[in-house]
Amino acid sequence: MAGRKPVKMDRKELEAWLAQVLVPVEPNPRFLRRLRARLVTYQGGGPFSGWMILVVLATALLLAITGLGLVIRLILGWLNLLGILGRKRRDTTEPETISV
Amino acid sequence: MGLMTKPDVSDMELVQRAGSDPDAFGELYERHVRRIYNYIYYRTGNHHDAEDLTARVFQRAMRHVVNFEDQGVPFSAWLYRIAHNLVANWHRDRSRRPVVPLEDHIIGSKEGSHPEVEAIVEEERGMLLAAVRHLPPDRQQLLILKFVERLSNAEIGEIMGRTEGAIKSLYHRTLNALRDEISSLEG
Repeated sequence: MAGRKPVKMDRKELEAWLAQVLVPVEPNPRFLRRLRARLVTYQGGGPFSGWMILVVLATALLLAITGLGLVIRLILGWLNLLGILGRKRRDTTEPETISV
Repeated sequence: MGLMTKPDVSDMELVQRAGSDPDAFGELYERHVRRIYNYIYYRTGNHHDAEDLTARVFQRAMRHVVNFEDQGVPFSAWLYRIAHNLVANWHRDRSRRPVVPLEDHIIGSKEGSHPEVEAIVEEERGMLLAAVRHLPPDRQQLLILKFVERLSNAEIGEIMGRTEGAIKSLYHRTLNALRDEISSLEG
């Protein structure tokens, strides 16, 4: 085809030229993979699907219960410590009150 | 689920399931993405816009696939129509902000061939593609379906919503118009 002057070409010649130029091109495989993943994710298992919402809610509930348990344990531990300290102080001051 | 790459399952069956089954839409995508990409590539002339518009075609198709009704028109025709509309919008936007795609002007070098011969081949190829892109959109579509997709007149007629005879006649007129375009580009 190189160097040919396509002036006044006949139909067969033009068709042959078209067949030579208009050939299938292969898209980038990475583009095809990414687009497929995006489409399928968007439609079915995306971040706003029902299952995902359920999993997020369950995890949040579990974290809240665990957090509440931790806070209760800390409060109880603090009260326990205060109790121990109070008892120690009472024990050290008790003999003086007896002598009085 | 369970529809992965089954050639015996028709497009219409997949379309009916695509609303609730992502794999069904995935299968439709695998079947048609290359065709749509090629169509858009030859209409736009560069890979970057072909990728962008192909992605938009399938995103739009996925959103509206539940509304697709079997009226004897193949699913591919529906996709081509979406692609056609998006390419038309792309051309309209581009005419407002003209840009020159870089890759149209890159001449690929093949080992062993003379650079001068390559340059001439590339120039002729560019001229033919430019002439094709000067044709009305339906004629461009016809040439792409006939030469890139190698479809018969009957298949092209199904996609373009015309009879086989009308396609034959349009093809004849397209070749004449293309010859005129080439002559005007050369002159």
